[in-house]
Amino acid sequence: MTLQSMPRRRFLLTALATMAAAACSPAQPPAAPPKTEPAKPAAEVKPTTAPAKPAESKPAADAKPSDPAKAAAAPAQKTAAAGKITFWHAMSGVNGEAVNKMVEGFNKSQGDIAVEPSFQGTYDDALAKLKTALASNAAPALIQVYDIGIRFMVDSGEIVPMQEFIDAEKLDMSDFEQNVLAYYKLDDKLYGMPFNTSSSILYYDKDAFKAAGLDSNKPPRTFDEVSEYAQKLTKKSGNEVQQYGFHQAIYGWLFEQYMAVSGELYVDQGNGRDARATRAVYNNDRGKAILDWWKAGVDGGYFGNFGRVTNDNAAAFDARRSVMYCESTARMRGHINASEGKGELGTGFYPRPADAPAEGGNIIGGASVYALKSRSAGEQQAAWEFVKYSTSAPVQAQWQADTGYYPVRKAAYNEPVAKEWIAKYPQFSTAVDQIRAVPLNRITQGAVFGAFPQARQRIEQAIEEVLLGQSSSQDALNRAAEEITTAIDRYNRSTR
Amino acid sequence: MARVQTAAAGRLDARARGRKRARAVRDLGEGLLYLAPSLFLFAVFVFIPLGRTVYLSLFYTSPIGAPREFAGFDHYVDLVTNPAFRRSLGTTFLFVLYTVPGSIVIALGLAVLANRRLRGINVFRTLFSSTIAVSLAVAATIWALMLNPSIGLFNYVLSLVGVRGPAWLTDPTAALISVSLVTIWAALGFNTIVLLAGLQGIPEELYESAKIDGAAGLGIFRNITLPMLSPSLFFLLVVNVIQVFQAFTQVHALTRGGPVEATNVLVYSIYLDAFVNFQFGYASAQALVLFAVILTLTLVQFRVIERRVHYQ
Repeated sequence: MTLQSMPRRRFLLTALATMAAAACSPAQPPAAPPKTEPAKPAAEVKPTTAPAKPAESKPAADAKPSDPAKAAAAPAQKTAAAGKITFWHAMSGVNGEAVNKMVEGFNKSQGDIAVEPSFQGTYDDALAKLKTALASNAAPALIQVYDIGIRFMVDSGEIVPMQEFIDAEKLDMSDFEQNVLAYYKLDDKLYGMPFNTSSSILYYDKDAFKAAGLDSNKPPRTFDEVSEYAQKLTKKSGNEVQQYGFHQAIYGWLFEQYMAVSGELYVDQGNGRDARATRAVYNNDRGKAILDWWKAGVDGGYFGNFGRVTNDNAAAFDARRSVMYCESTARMRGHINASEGKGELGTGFYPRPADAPAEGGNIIGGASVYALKSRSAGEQQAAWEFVKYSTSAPVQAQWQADTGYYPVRKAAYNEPVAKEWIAKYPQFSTAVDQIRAVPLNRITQGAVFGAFPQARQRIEQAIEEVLLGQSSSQDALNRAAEEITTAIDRYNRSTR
Repeated sequence: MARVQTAAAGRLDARARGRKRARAVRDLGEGLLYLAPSLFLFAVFVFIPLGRTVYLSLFYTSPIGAPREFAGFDHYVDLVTNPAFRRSLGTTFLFVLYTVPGSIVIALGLAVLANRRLRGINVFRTLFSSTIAVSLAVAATIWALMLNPSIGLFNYVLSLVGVRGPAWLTDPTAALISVSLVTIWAALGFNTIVLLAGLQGIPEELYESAKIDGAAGLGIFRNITLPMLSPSLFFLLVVNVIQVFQAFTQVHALTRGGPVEATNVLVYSIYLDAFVNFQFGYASAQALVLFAVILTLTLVQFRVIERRVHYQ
């Protein structure tokens, strides 16, 4: 090494050391924190559209914020609901377009509030960003959070429960689907307003059923029937499978649904609804039966395994690499579109064990929206006005037609657009029938606990271990349950 | 008299020293003034977050990351005893091994090719270095489509020639290789540019005199090109190792750390623990271990490998 090289070497070393240091701070989010529009006074916002044009507005009479009687009744409305608010959502593809359409409809229906929808990636991404945004006071007025985020949202102490807005206006909630509201209630208090509601169903290709000599109007109901049908539907050339009979994503949500239809709790304390959950309890015979059934299908070569990513699994069905698959009703519109010219789309009830007890049933999935406390009272009220609009019957009917999510209002089914849609796509009535048939209890209300996102990841790993033959079903479930029990304990301690 | 003289000399001395010190202080002040902007940025983006990470690693945190309960070294003890963390560390080293040598060697080949003086060589130079201009998130998403387990382009093309492709992203062994492939591809652009610049900095006379001395082909490459290029190669080695240790985007886009943790590299594990599992303290402890590992490795590289680097 020569003298001349010294400074260069020093420089390089210092530069690299700082680079290494810079890289090691987990306090920074993986993506740049999303920018939030600062709230603007009402006067600045779209002055030209201030007089609402009734001709253009949607027929959402019950959601109109301009009702003076209602406004006077609400004490929170001392601050006028006005301004520009940001709404973070996690809807992509056709569902994302439907969100934009809904927001546009709201913005046109009145002149005081401008909602700006902002797509934040997956549900997990949106929640991760919210955590950093809360720390830097850059949170949106309204955020869509997945079902299992409820414990975190409540414990964060950063939200205004929807119940407060409802109570302030004495809003009549009797027209809402009670099964759906039940999920987002803790101690009889509604925290998030259901925004998009789904459940898990079986999709299948009717033409493939006919080709295999099966009755195309009788989809399988039980685990055993799914296996039996799948074997008949599988097509091979030599050793290579051309068409699988069945597949599903390695997705923790589906496992949770299987536990519920098997009549089992996921965590103790009445699924964490009687008191805070302390233990994961899915490592029992029912849990084992689910994984054994799944593994037998994959090992037998008649269940496909297309990994964890839901989009990949949906693509496998759309390309008919597999002709039966279980997934959320949220995908219905996409599959209806993709099935045109490929084979008629059929839908059936979510499979269950043949001896499933009567108290079992599907848990609703999807997401709800939460109003954030850190925004001004005016913005909170503006967020509530949008929430009311979004849950009005005509908007819900349109939302169902655009996406395939359930309407949260019973009256939505009377809307012309909903009637037309069900007539056109009878597949959807399966989903409605299924959710209406569910008995409402702790099992079907679904689990609530803080470490839920982690538990979902962990069960996915357990499923992978089993499918790839690295572990027996019972061992994999035991290890996962043990780890999640530790995580629940740690979470509970951190909120004390 | 003599005493007076020495006293005077002492006074003078002291005054001179005082002046010197004053100048030193002034110089330091001036220097800091020049450095102020960068010191400020470093403080905001590096030192403060680093300090905060150390602080958080000693606490249990609330779900939104506020320190709640002092944990002492609990998180570090957890790390040592947790097999998942050891697996993650192992995966990370394997990932470095799969990617760094490959991307440097391939980039070297491309740089040597692009260093030829041919008509239209600029087209190739642009092509070879183009990956630097593509956002890794975008690239990884496109790769995910090509490697897709059900409708992937790769396996379709392979099936045309009668080869049954692996399950690129759903098989634990293949998944890490797939992520490595994408990483190598992404690093090629930058590496090629650096090596091409290095090659063009080698004086022509050296090649000429080597030829006069009777050297040819591989001999020239080994005895002239490689030593002259060694500073660039060393730089790339260090930078690539650090970058690969910090890989996140491609893992997130392609595999989300799965299947069965096969691609759960350290930074992804930190992400999961902090932003999915709400364990900010534990995640901070992992981040500090990552820092220590990268720092140690970098120092070792400077101690051991840099001896063989030939600076002009």
